[in-house]
Amino acid sequence: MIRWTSRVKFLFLLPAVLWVLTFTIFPLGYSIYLSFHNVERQVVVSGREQVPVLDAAGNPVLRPDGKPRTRTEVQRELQTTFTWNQFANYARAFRDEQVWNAVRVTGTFVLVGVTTQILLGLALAWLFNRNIVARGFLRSIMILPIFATPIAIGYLFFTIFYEVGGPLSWTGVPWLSNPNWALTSVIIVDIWQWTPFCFLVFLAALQGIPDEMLESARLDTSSEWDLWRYVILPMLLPVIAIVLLLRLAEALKLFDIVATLTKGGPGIATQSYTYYAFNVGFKLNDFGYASAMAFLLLIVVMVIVTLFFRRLRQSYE
Amino acid sequence: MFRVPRDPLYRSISRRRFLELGGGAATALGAGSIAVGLNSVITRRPVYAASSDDAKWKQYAGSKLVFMSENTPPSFAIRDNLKPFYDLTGIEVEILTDDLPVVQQKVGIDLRSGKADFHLNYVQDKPIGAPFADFYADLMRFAGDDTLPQDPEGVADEAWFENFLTACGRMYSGERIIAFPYDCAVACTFYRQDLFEKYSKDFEADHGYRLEFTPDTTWKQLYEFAAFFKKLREAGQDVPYGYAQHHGSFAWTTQLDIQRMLFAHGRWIDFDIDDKLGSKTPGPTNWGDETSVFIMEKFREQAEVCHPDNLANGTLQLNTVYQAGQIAMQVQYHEFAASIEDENTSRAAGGKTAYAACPKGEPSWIKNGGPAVNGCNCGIGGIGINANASEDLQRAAYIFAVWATSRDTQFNVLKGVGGTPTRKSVLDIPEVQAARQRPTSMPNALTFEAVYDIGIRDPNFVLGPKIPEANEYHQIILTEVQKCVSGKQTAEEACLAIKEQVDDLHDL
Repeated sequence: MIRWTSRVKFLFLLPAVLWVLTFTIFPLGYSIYLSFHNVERQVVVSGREQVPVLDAAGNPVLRPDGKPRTRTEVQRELQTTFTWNQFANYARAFRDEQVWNAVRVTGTFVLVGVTTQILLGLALAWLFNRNIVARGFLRSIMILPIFATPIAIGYLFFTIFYEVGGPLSWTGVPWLSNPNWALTSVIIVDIWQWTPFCFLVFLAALQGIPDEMLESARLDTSSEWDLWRYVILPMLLPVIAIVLLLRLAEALKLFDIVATLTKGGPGIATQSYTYYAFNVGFKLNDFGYASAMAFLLLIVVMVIVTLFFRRLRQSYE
Repeated sequence: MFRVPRDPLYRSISRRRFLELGGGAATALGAGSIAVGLNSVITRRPVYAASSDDAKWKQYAGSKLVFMSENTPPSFAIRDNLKPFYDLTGIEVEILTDDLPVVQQKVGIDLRSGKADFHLNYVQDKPIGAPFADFYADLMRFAGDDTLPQDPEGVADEAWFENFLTACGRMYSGERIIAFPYDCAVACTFYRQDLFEKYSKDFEADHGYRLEFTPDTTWKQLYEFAAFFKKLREAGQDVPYGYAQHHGSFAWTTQLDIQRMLFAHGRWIDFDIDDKLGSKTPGPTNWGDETSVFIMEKFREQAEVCHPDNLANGTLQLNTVYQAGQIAMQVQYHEFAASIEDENTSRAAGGKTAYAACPKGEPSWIKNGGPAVNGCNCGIGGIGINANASEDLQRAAYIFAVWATSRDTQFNVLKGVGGTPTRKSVLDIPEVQAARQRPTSMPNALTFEAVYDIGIRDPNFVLGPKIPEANEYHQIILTEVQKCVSGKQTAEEACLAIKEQVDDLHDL
């Protein structure tokens, strides 16, 4: 027999279970459902009723023939229709030029941004792993961007990139008004914010390499490059892989910087995949299509992550 | 040191029991606060047609309403001065304000989901009214109800400026009124009169006519003004750039920006429909015709002489650029005049700025044989009632709508942070008439000649297409226009791309 006190544990679990069901499982299931449907919400006239016309005192107004004067009251009803459309929303995504543009923008952003962050992060970690002046202070300064809110950063860089009177105006570069430069600006902001994260993790990994190993390697070579290539880099590889994975998954969801810095413009030059999906869903109220786009991204991310981990596991085995 | 009771409460309750009680209390409190927080309050005292006015105003005393509005001066002013309304009615109103794109998203979700978290909405004609028209209550039902308080001036067309009630209240047919005109944003030209006077001789020597704005100033001349200022600046003189357009994220303001130029040249409109009423089936668009391609090219040329951050500036940033003294002209909505005349924040304040109607069409640019007009477009912001709300909530909301659009409230807002009246009678108030000249305590009144005497009157007035897919339409225009302006495609390619997408949008 279960004691009352044993049942209590289920009660305590209930909020967490409800939370997951309400805010994770249900939205996920519902958005899958939406992605296979055309969702139409409209107000339809559900009926008409003749009601008596009343005068100021609340009495019925009579017609000359003595019958009560009436007026037609229209009853309206909100109707939601979910029309099963098989894979039409998914197929539409492949035909939609804006989707391909968003894929191109996001792909460029991920490729250039994440690669630069990892290379810069490695270089900085190497630098800060040596005895340099004010290392602790500089390290603290370096990691500050990680803690800033991307939305705030977007607005901050809007003022920095502003061509007239902005601190970078002397460059003469059309940071936000030229399609190519606008994407470059978005990438620069992301690099500025996330290179410190790569740097911090790489620095911790570098400091975790045993001194004995490095000292014995130095007996075999005096070349710093060889030391990196044959000793340090192989040891850092798992950490680099994890950082790459984390940054990749995050970068594919690029939204906040675009939303604040360029709003996807000029034109659609910086419209990322998630920003476009957001606009389709919440601006144009096409929830079925937006859900399909979101799931396509989810599938892409899952494929990348699975392949990535498989490759990582193989390299270990 | 402290006295410990012999049998204190905390010793008589086990830790487990304590946690159980605590958890239960927290759950109850959480559920209770959610229930209270999400629900509006409605209380009603019955009134009759013969009841006193006071009883009609007070019939929902103790109720609470939520109004989702754009962050415009009237909403700020009304939010800060709700006490008179509360004293009059006993109804508490919470006014939430945000940028229009955010308002559009929030009310869209609320309306389409069948909910009524926001009982009153800011119904901007095109981005909110046109797509969500069916979800608003018919205000005429309440306007003819003797048990509700009514405005002494009434709510018929004659009470408002011409076209205003139709613009925000009638969608696709005259059958229903979904909103009363609450505020308006009418385009007019803001220009630096001090700089125009200073450089007039130099300009006249170059171009053979005066550097000045009149109702007959054309878009071609505006281009020449802007090019002149840019040339001076490039020659090293300390002058602002000439002009800048509306881009950034407010898609419909980019659409309006090119539309007023198109309309000025032969009264070109996007679809062959009743522009003021709109249409659910607009048919094929006129984009791609000779006029649209020609004017698109002129718009692109205009961008070349604009402020360098032209493409990055939305409507709000554009006004900031003008305030900062970085441009000498902008076509802007007249509600911004108050911010321009604020000496604490604006370098264009203190009598430096003058206001004129939107430029006129250049006769030699007209391709469709129509007249040259001062194409002037606007956004009429209505106040509408969510039809998902209960009957009593709708009635209580109507009371607020009547008060918020009344002459006295609009006058108070105009005196305060700078309103944009929609009732004709406000302009008849002697204080307002006096305020149309400098020095003035109502800076928006300085624009009234350009706006109310010229801009909103036929044949100059153009609203912009009221179609259910208005937001999709604006987004298409924004994208293709910006691609053209940034050199990614030609004017013709842009217009044809718009036509293809818009016709596709309407299954044509």
